[in-house]
Amino acid sequence: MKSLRIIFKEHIKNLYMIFSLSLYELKIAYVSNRLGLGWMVLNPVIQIAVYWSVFGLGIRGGAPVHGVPFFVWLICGLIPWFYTSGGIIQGSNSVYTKLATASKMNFPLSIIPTLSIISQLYTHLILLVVIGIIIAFSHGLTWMSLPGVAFYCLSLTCFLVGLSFLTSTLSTIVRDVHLLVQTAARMLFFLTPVMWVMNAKTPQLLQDAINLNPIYYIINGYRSSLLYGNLNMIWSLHTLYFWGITLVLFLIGGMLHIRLRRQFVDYL
Amino acid sequence: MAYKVKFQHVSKSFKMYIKNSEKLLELFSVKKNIATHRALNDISFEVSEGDVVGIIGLNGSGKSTLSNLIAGVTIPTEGEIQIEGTAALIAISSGLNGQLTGYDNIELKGLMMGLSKKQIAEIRPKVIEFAELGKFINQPVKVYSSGMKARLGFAISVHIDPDILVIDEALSVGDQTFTDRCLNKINEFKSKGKTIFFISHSLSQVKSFCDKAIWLHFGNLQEFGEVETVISHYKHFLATFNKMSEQEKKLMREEHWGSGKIV
Repeated sequence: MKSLRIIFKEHIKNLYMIFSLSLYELKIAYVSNRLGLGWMVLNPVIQIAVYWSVFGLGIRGGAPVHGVPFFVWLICGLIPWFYTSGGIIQGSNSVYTKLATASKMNFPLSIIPTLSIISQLYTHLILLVVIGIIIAFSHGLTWMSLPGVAFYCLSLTCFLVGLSFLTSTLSTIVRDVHLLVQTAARMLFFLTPVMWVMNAKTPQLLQDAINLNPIYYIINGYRSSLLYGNLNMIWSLHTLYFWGITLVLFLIGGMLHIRLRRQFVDYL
Repeated sequence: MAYKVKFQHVSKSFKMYIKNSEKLLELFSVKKNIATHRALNDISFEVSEGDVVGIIGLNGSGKSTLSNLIAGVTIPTEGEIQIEGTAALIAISSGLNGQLTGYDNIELKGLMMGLSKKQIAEIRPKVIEFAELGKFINQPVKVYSSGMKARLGFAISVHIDPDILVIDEALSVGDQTFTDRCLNKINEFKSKGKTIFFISHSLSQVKSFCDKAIWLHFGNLQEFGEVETVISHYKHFLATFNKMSEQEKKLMREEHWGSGKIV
């Protein structure tokens, strides 16, 4: 708890730095390429096109999901997934990549995981606007979608920041952890029903396991709010479970971060 | 006069991990005997406002560790350090990002030091002028010569205007004109009542820049005082040290550092 207080204080004190540096990071990530910020949209568009053609047209033969066109159903899951996977991987790498610069000055290291997630959030918000327009035209969007998406987006952001505290600390000290995180993120993609539908034919054990997956809760939440404006899940026990996990991540990650950050430079 | 930097019985040890698994075990506080290297041993000194302090000593005597401690980059294993104000460290590899251009590096470092966009826009032309990068300012830093990197690092840190400046060998790669310009800048800092630490192997540079000196000898504080006295003693020591046979030098090193025994 004491660690969390230190981290919280550092965040409040350096709020300006978090936003200016996260914007800067975003700029640097894209500006070096010829198409610049175009990649921010182009990259997910290409991925969506591939998944749509393989899973939607190929495997499902273009069949809709519960009356929703597969394409619309897919992007409602893929867009939050892009944010999740980007957040998991960049967050885990964040401290290590910044350390060379940050260690040459008295820099508040605890804001590094946060600012790397915030920098991903900008892309996510832009894609959410795009997806909102698509749904409004193809399927119809209700105003009730807005609070739902806002809630799940906030939940996911907190989850990713908490996770990043844990993974960034561990992967700075032992580099293998980062590879492990990358592999885990790739596996998580298939273990979360982002582009396949869980139904009665899915084995019970797998269903139970997937229900315990916090990312499934988020993807499901995005889908039900975006497609149906359905907010029922927010009032369910799943929400409690999700925030419980997030809190545990913050507690462990924050403690490890505070305990080990002073040695980061020595590990380099 | 009030002190700016005060070290009280400061020691710094590094753990010498052999395997990655040892780091992991230690994370979960599983006790294990790990060899340590004591880079600094019981250092105490006090430096006032406006002092320019040279830090001299053989390779591996703890100069860079001391500069990292002053800049707040690492924390001591034992003892206490009190620093009044902000400190900036300039080393040869001065925390520049090789992928970014010089222009972007100025922005990045400024942002990381907590400057606003407006302040950065103000210092940027001054930094570019001081560093004399010319057309290279829009090139990635990885293509810079070591002199250019040092100039850019020095220029950024100086214009961010810290209270305490720690220069770790960063001037040794610059040519005479640049060194002279740095000297002017350092004197300007001095007249503003700022404290500067200057680490160099060039005794003549130390003599011309500094008015005090710290002589580190295998992690111990050998002498701290007026620059003339310390340097003459150090020169005397170097003369005898260089005359020693390799065997004697090795013995001396082992006496201070140990031969890799487990503590």
